[in-house]
Amino acid sequence: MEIPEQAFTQIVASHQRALVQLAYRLVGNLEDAKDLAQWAFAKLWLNHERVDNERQVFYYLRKILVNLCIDHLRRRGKVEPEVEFEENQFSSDDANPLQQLEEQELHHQLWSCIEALKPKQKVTLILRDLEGYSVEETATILDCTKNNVLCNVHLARENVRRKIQQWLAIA
Amino acid sequence: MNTIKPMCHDFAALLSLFAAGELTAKQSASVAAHLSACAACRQKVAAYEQLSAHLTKLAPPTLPEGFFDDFHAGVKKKIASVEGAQQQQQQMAGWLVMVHALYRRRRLAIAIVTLLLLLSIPTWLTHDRRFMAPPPSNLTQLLEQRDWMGLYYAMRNSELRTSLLNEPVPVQLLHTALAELLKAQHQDPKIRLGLQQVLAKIKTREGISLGLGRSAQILGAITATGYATAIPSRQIVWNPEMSLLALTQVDANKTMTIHQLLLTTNLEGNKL
Ligand SMILES: [Zn+2]
Repeated sequence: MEIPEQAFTQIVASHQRALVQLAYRLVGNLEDAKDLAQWAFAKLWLNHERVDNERQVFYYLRKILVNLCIDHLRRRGKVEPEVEFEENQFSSDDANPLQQLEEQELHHQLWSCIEALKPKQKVTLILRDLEGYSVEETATILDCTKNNVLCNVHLARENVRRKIQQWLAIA
Repeated sequence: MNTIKPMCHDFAALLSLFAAGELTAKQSASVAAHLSACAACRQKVAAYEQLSAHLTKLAPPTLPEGFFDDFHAGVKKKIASVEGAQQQQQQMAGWLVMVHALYRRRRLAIAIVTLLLLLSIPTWLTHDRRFMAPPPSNLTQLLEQRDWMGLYYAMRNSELRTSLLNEPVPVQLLHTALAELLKAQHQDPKIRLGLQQVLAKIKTREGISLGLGRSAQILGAITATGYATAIPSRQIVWNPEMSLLALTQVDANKTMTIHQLLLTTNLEGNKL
């Protein structure tokens, strides 16, 4: 479809936060996440003939972004995640500070387990379990079958669960 | 009859999917039957459930203030860099054609050069980009235009959603739109699905946004614990028909937000 300048501005404004968040969860740092999300929008503009409606815009952006992130991860190789945790994130009035600390530590550990997953498993887990897309939506974004999604998300959860239980046993 | 009793091993690949409610009813039933007799697998399912609870709690990034200020400009820069490279390539191709033609025939060459010169006016300058209005982002407009798909996509955007839910809309409009929507959903399964998804995306007070997949299972409704001020921790199923009834009892000239509408109606009837 033709995307006039004004409509494009609107598209960027309404999807930018979701795209940066998704990219951040995939690549682990904000600067790269911003860059990759911007590329996704640029590609939409340059390939506007590939989308016919808003629904397709929604999926096209995420599809492109996920592919860019996977490429980025493969090129970059393994690095330490830059994920940070805020203290106020767990503070509710009646929470136990020790428990909060443990939870923070656990979440830190969770992130390194996710980081260590193979790109396909990682991306499926993040879309399904962190971003909350349905199995169908995840399959559409990843251009694969629903069974493929289920298989990858199972493997990812199994890997993370094993590692976390090992870690809990040591800690 | 001698059947082979399925072993834990047969279920290993299904347990995490079972915990997440991703199996078919038949698969679920067979896993559940095994679980009732197997403590080890039950423990595994519990571990998956815990894991999923923690995964949903992993915080989204905290973005520094002004993070998006230069975002669009960055997009444009990237577009320009690609378009620049493409233009260079096109020019190169043009030169190649010309050299080739010159090499073959002189008169034809002149014609081609002229043509190339004419064509070299950048296509994007003359390109007719027909004006298309951006989709409206306020609830009143969306309802006035009965743009259900637009509403659905707007609701999927967390920032827009909050403002849509809290936008005062004339009660009259809310009533006619909802009535039409309810009528249409019986005829068009797509509208029904859209309606369910819109509702499912509404956040509860605890900030739990039900995923689309999970919420589709809760037909035509949301588990809006957040709205249950009178009976906390109990599930309330939002009933659109009830809301419609409630709307007939409000002054049609007043305005109301969807948020307020949800507060006024629940399973126990309307409480206006
Ligand atoms: Zn078992």
